[in-house]
Amino acid sequence: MKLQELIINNFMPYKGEQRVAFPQHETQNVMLLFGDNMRGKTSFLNSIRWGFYGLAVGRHLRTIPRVNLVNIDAAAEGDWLMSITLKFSHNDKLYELRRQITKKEHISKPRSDSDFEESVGLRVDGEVLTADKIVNEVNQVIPEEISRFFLFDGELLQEYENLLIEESEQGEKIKEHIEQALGVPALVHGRDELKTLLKTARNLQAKDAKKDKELQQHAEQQRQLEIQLTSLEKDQKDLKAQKTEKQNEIDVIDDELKNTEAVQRKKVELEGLTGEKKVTEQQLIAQEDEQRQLLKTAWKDVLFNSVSLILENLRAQRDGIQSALSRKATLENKVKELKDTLEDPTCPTCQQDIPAEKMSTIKNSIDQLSAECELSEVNIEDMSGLNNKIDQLSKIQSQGEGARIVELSNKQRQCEVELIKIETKLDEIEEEIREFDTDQIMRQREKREQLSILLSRIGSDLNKIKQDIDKNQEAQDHIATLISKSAGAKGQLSSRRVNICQELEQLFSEGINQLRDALRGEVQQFASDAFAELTTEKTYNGLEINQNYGLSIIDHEGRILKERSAGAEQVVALALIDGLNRTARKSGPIVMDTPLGRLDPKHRSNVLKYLPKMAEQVVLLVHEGEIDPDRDLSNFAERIGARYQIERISATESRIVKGD
Amino acid sequence: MNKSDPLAVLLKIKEKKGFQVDDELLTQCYQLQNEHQYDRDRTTLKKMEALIEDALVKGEEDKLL
Repeated sequence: MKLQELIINNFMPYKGEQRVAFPQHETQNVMLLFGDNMRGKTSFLNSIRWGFYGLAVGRHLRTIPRVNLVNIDAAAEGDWLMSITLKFSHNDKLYELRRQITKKEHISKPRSDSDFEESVGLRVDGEVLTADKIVNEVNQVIPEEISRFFLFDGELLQEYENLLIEESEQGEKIKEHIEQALGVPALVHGRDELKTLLKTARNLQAKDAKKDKELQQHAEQQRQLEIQLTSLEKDQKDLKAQKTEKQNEIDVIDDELKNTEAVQRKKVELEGLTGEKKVTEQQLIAQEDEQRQLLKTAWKDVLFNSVSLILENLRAQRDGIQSALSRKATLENKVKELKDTLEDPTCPTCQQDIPAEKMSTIKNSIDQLSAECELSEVNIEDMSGLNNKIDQLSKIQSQGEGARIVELSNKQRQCEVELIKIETKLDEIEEEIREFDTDQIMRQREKREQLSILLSRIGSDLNKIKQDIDKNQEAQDHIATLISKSAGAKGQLSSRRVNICQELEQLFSEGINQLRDALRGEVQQFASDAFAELTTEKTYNGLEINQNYGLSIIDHEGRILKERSAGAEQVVALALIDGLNRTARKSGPIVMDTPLGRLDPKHRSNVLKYLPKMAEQVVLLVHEGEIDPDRDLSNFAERIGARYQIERISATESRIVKGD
Repeated sequence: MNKSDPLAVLLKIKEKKGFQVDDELLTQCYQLQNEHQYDRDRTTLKKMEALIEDALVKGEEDKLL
């Protein structure tokens, strides 16, 4: 299939008619559409999707309501007609598909999808197809189930990481899409229909068996099992419906939460800052308490230095008095000894008489020493007064209160500055999120968690029911075989029908698993080949696929690389897309929106060289940050067949113009 | 044999299991499903039933002949 032309009319930002011709050349097969963010690249992708399938999708592949598809300015002018025409070729036939919506006549201002009427027309080689055949015809050429892998949003490439997470809800969804793309549905539908036919065949066989006395018991067992199976299948259907409903609710919440991610972050920041504010306020209170305690004894610290000098002086005085007392006592002793010598003039050491001429000298000494003693008169009361003063003043001790108070004051100032900063930030954040109901956001997060738990419970119940159904069918198969082999029923048409249906059903069932294994191997090989060309790390051994089609990078020693960068994720996802496209379909275009967003220049260069080889036609919707027209185009200039630019007319209107 | 060709996979399982179902019927069933695997309105059940009934009738005729 090859796209030839796209005619857009009043679709999203594209007001009026815009035409884009796709490259038809075999090697110049790349079309570039440059556009800044919010100008309409994703809308361009959606215009193709809507043209083919009547569906435009946002995040989580959620459908965009019709009222949002019509250009807002055109609608304001009363023009509610929106249409997409796609011209393409397939198997040497020319197709022209036109899809349009317009508001119903009696509706003045559409609000919901039902306020519009949709019409679709398809010409194949000029011949008009009837409406009932259009959907199937389009799906034959370009199945919607595969569209995820050729009409894709590069910004959602990270969703493929979910394939590596066991039991991830999103991973399950993508896996389902992958298997649809790989042709597994042929076997899945076959198995399901054969199950239905087998059920009917068993009923007919049981009816025949009822007529045979020997087989009546088997017929009754079969009837009971059938009743049980019908009940189990009903439960299974109900649970699946519940699962879808809950999953949709989660998707809606995820969308809502995604839109308020910035608010949620701010709310978390707000909570953090409120906590910090509380801690800072408590610190301030503690500092004030400590300061109050220190002020009680701070006067001691203030007086301590002056008192120290006085104390020193007083202690010196006391020392002086003590010295004088001691000297006086010594003098008095000396006088006493000399007086004793006068009374008994015998030397106390040698017991000889002291000569009379020496006695006058002793008398003189006594007089002199007595005079000195009288001069050394000390007032004892002075001494006790001094001791009292010293004792009192010694109580004035410094604990460094002054320095600690200064230190505390500095800390308090810092805390106060910090508090002002926090309060300012809090005011700013509160102002930013004032218009949002943050409590509602938090409630939605809680609701999402509860829904996830519920979904997991439904999953367990579904597993249990599936096991019961499998057991039931095994039992029915067994009884049907017993009936078929019995003499009464052998060769009967109803038994032969059961045998054929049983065998076919088993073949299709087992075929699904074997086909899955084979397809996984093929996707792994193709993706590894693509990865080898895309990655800048040439020592990697390739990619390894898991049960969910998730791809792991294998290093040079055959080990799985645990942590991957955002760029590596994007390269692996591109390799997977390529592997799937090569496995699933032999031809067709690829339209990629923002595929190079997270890549460094070297990877970007590798990807740009590789992209033209990914499909017969490659349409790249890029901004100039991804592909620099001056620098990057040299990587594949010879492959560019068409170039367009999205020009801004206003905030709500864009125009596609052909480039050089 | 292409390991990822669904029909080849089905025929191989049949051979391995020694099932009696006719190759032609198996092929027809697969081709029918393959052609309509992406159809929105599923109309293949009746066609599958018809294929099986035809095979049964053909079997009856072969027995008579």
